[in-house]
Amino acid sequence: MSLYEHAARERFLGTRFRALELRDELERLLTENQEVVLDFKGVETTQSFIDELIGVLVLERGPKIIERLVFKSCSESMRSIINFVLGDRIEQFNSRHRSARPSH
Amino acid sequence: MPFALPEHVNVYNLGALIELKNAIVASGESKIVIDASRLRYIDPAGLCVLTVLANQLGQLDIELELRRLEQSMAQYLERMDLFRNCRIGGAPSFTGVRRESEGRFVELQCLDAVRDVGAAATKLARTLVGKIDDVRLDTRPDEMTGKSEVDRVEGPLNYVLDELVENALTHAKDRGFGGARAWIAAQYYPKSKKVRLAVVDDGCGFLESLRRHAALKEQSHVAAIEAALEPRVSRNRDVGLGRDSGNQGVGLTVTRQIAMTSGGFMTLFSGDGWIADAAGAQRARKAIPRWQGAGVYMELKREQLRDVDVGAIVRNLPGYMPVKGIRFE
Repeated sequence: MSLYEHAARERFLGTRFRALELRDELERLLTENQEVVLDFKGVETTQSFIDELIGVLVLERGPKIIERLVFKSCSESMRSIINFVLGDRIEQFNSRHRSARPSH
Repeated sequence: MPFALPEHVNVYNLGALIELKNAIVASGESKIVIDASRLRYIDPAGLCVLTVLANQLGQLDIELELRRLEQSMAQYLERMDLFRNCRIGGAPSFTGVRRESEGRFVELQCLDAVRDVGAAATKLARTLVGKIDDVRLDTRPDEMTGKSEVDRVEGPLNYVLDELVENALTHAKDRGFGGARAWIAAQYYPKSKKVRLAVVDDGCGFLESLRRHAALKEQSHVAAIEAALEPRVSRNRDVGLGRDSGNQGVGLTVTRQIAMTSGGFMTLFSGDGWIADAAGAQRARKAIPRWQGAGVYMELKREQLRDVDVGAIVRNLPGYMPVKGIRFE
């Protein structure tokens, strides 16, 4: 999935609103493919955009979803943003599920 | 004329504008003439606030007219689309076709739908970069970074505009303020080589947005603004998902750091609270006459903008750690 092409050649993707639109496409691809490549060539984004695109997926489906995603051609900034978003949402997912476990 | 604009209308004396509006409402008059002869300077924050206040008076059927505007100031306000954005008389009359701006400003605009933010922010950032003389628009990408000079200046501008405007509209419309709007204005000042931009809304404000948040140390507008700047403080970080996903609460934190890293400053106001953070200086706080909504004003130094490293800012967020198992190719 080329972010650049799917985003109609926008080189900066900044809003959650925009990510929501692209997440629909990503979820469709995940139902049809075991693995999806997200190509960030020529694209920079905000942390909010990445959180809406994939952070939400982690919260909904758990950290294992990351195993089905490949992040291609990411700049150093994009790698940091993706790391931050996924790390934060994994921690939040794990915390929710720890507190949801029944005590003995 | 009992009502007058001060010499400077900027982020430091927004109180004067709010008090002017309050006095106009208290007068009970429906046709108000404001003496604008002293007005010499208005910054993007002042422009946004003046527009919002004029609109609010218009909704009360109070007609405003600015009189005795100095000609270049009248033309500037006209260029910034003040007279198009609110019912306020005093627009200079022009004959012939309006020329495209050769100046450094980006006209005032109003947004009320989140779907319009991305395109507006990108257009604003590109327009601002285009106004900056010494950014060579035809520079090829650097071989090491893959980024051109334009990318390096436009990127941080796009980042802050996207975050601030979407934040403003999303949070402003909370708690029964569904009709809230956001106004944006920006300008490049070539002599000082600074970009100044403002995003002002008439929504619920920081305190109402964070009223039940654990990070709010006290129920005050200043405390709410300060809480909002802390990482991982968001009104809906833990809310259920679906089409209304939660935030991670770092958008404003990162935006603030972009301002600091570019040697600039960031001012936020909401309710009766006003705070300012500047690179290398202690935080300033003061009380202002009550503003319904929130405003953010930033100043960024052009020469340092190109060196802003958003990745480094994110890596310095509390709790940042590389995640094992992410496949980067």
